[in-house]
Amino acid sequence: MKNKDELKELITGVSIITLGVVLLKLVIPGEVDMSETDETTSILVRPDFWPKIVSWLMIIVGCIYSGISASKLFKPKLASKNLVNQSPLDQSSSIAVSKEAILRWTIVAVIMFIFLIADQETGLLIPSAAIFLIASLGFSMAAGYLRFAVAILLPMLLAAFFDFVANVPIPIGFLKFLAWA
Amino acid sequence: MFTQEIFVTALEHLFISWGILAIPVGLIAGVIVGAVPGLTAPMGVALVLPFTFFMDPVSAILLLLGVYKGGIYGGSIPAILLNTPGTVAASATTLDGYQMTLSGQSKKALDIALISSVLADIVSTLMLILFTGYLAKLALNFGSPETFSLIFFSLFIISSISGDQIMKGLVAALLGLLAAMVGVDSYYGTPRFNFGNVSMMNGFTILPLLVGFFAFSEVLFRLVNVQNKFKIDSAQRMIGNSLESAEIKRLLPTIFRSSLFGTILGAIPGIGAAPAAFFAYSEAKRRSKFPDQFGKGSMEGVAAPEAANNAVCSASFIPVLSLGIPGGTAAAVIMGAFIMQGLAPGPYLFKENRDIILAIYLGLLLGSAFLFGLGHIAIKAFVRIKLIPDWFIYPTILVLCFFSGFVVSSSFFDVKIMLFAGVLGLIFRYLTIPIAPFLIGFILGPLLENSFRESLMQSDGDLSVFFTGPICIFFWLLSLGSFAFTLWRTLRKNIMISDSK
Repeated sequence: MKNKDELKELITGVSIITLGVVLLKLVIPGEVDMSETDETTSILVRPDFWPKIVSWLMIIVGCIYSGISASKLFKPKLASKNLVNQSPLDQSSSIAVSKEAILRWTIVAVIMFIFLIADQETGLLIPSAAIFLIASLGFSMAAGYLRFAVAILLPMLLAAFFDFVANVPIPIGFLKFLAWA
Repeated sequence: MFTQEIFVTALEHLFISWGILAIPVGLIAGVIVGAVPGLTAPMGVALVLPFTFFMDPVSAILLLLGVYKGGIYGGSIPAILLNTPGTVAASATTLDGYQMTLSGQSKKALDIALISSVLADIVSTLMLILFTGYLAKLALNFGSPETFSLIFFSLFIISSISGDQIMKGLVAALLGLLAAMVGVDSYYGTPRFNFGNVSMMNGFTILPLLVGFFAFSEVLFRLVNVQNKFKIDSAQRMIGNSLESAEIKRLLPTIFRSSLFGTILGAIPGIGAAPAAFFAYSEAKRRSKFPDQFGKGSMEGVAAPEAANNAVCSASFIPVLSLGIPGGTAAAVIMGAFIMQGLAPGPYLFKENRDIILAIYLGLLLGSAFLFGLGHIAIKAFVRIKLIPDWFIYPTILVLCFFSGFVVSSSFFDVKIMLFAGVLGLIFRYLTIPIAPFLIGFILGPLLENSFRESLMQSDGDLSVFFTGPICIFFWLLSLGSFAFTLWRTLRKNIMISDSK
């Protein structure tokens, strides 16, 4: 378990170094527009200067972090008993194959998918109702029909509040036939 | 400065022109706005602004100030109860406020937030009344190098929030700085890290990030937890006891100190309530006898940011009244109300309309008393939230996240950003990387970059500009001292552990 934490930290450190290098070599040259500057522009005020500073800091911090993690990994005596930092998600033996675990991760995946595909066509009401129903199943099966009532009413109340009180129009997508559309 | 005649006229504005009613009305509206994630205090002020067209100047200004103060306080309620900051300024309050709720002390946490807010409000208003002139001069002394050194220090201290794991804090802060760079270059207006996506031209909006990191990731985390070890148990459902007088006394130094920080930082245009709250939090942690408790339900961890962010409210009017410059977004909106009412904010206001200024001062002080009473009522109502079953409360939070992500800019792109932040928050939890440094890096990143570039432009590239001036040197020494102290503490702990083995 202890080695797993140090390995995780080592991978994190190496990932940060990789991110810094990718930023310096690929992303900054490709995604920072330098068209407004020329050779006479001071390097200190060019648009890519600050991103490069942050990238280099990432590489330096990543190296230090990886070094500390590697020293803990390969010299176990120096590792600290920092149990507080053990991730509560790291229940490796329990996450793998139980039916309940698969159901929960499926629920999470569906919720994320709804967030991802929501747009003006879907509106907010129907996806919200779906999110509520699916998430409530993940927490408890005991709610009964009450969950359906809440799933319908809650998004409508929120939409009415934002529409009429906060003056923020809420897209209702497929439900355009509703009175306030 | 204020004669008896002016005092009598000011009282007429308050009690005869019904200015005094504007305060509680504004506070109630503000608390409701602040308690709804997705609605910000400046947004609440902007929504109410049209209603003030038909009001007299004092009532109009007090109404808007009430909305602002109520909004800043109201943001602490969902921050503490639901790990969802109602406003950006309350994001620091979630760090310890929600932990207190998880340990069955939600009532105490809300009491701390209320008392800190009220006391800070009084301190800040008194400072506004007594020291507007002096504080405006101090604010004028903060040039770009001073701003850079202050923010660097804040970022560094916040990175050490994770105690021994300062490297993780620095990683999070750097990722936050990276996220802040998306959008356009502030000087040339050229695209930066947009990847051809028009929606990213304005960068990432802060509220979807906050809601995603804190609320969305929290619900996802509870959903994926297989063994239900972190299901809310009966202890967490307990509301807990109210704050005791001995505890209030113990918190007074933290509240007072944070109020001063909030007042000074609020007087500096552009700093805002959120950076002030995080700065006060980091200072409280640094000075605390139990710094390891921060992030785990420390009462000081709730008192400090709440005091600071509420102190900013009145302080942000120091530059408005003294210089005619808004101290923040909400102050800018309220300055618009001044102009609409035919008043010219700035030094001439003290010459031409002293009675209005005094009425506003008195109204602000009365507002603190109203806030205390209103807050007690709000706490009694909101604290019952923990008795609501899981199958209702967490899916409701998800739906609220969904709406909150959209309403900020009426954009589904922000909903995607919130999803991304939620997933990133979950990854951060898995890797035990603290979220706070990421957020403060994101919030302060643009200010840090702009102050850096402005300083170098002013000095023609001479880096020594960051090391001249007493304010700069003060913050660099503080940064160095904090780093040395953290290093010493880490080494000492490692030596003790290896000795015990």
